[in-house]
Amino acid sequence: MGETESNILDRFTLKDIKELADQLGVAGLAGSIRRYTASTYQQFIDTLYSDLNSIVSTLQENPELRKDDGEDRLTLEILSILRGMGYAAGHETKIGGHTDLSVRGKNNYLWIGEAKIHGSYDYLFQGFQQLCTRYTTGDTNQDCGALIIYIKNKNCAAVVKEWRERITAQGLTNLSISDCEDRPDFVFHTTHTHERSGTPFNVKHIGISLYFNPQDKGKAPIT
Amino acid sequence: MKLDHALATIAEDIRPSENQKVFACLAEYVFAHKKDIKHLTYSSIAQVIGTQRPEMLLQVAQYLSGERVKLLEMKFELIIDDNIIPLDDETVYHAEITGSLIHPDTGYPVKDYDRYIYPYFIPSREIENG
Repeated sequence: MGETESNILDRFTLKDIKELADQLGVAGLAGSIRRYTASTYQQFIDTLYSDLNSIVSTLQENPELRKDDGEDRLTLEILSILRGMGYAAGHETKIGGHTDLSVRGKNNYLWIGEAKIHGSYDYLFQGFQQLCTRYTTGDTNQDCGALIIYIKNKNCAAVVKEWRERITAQGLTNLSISDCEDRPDFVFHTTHTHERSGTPFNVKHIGISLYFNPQDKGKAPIT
Repeated sequence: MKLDHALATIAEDIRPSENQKVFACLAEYVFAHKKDIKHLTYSSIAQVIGTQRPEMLLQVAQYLSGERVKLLEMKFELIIDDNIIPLDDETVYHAEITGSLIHPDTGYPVKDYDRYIYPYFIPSREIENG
């Protein structure tokens, strides 16, 4: 390490880190400061969801690589990136059962994600129920989770819209639904009374578009 | 967190595998010098792990400061004209979210605040004798 490089690193500021994060494309670096300094559960969740947004973008960029992947394989990819960012993320961690994705933070913070490849809306509801009635406690610092929906069929927005209507019709206690500002056609939020805790439980429903059916290579037209 | 557990976690998480020794090198250094380390800069970390690649330096620091292994704790100082003021996590988080940092002493916003915040690292409280 040359002396000049050493001097530069001695004066490494937050601005330098952010600029390098942009230039180098290191996963999660831009959000790392918020991750280190989050000091409430809501800040932990907000930062996690911001990082998950980035991960979803990464997954969606190459659907051709993932067209044969099952739920576990896709979830393991999310897990791997979260761990690289420094998250205490787990897969198949035993919390009431074997959770697809869990993230722990300080002060007993816990977030659980249940992942499903969309096949039917009953299957998605089964995942929602696993999340809300099997895995989560609904306790303080543990009242947020997500249903991660891998959508390999076309028209991802229609799937999410239909799912939103279906969940509304399930008769959940004190259900409220709100839009997601970042990805309004593919993500929404629900809050309902958690059966076990009796307190509000917040679920983010995240649609991930993995449809791949390129139509640029076909038979030559008949002339 | 004990050293052998940290090293096993690094072996599980870090790919490609040839990068693992860089992460392990810093982990071993932190455990060996945990009582002496008071202010570990990025420059010091770069010398310990012997890298000239900023992306590797930042990745190693990010991973070892995260909750997954939690060997390091990231701290922040506001340094303007040789005046050094420690900043707590809540202040830095708020600045990152709002884009504005209020100077703790003057009460006025610091223009381009992120040019004046310097991160450094200390061993985390989770390190046990390993």
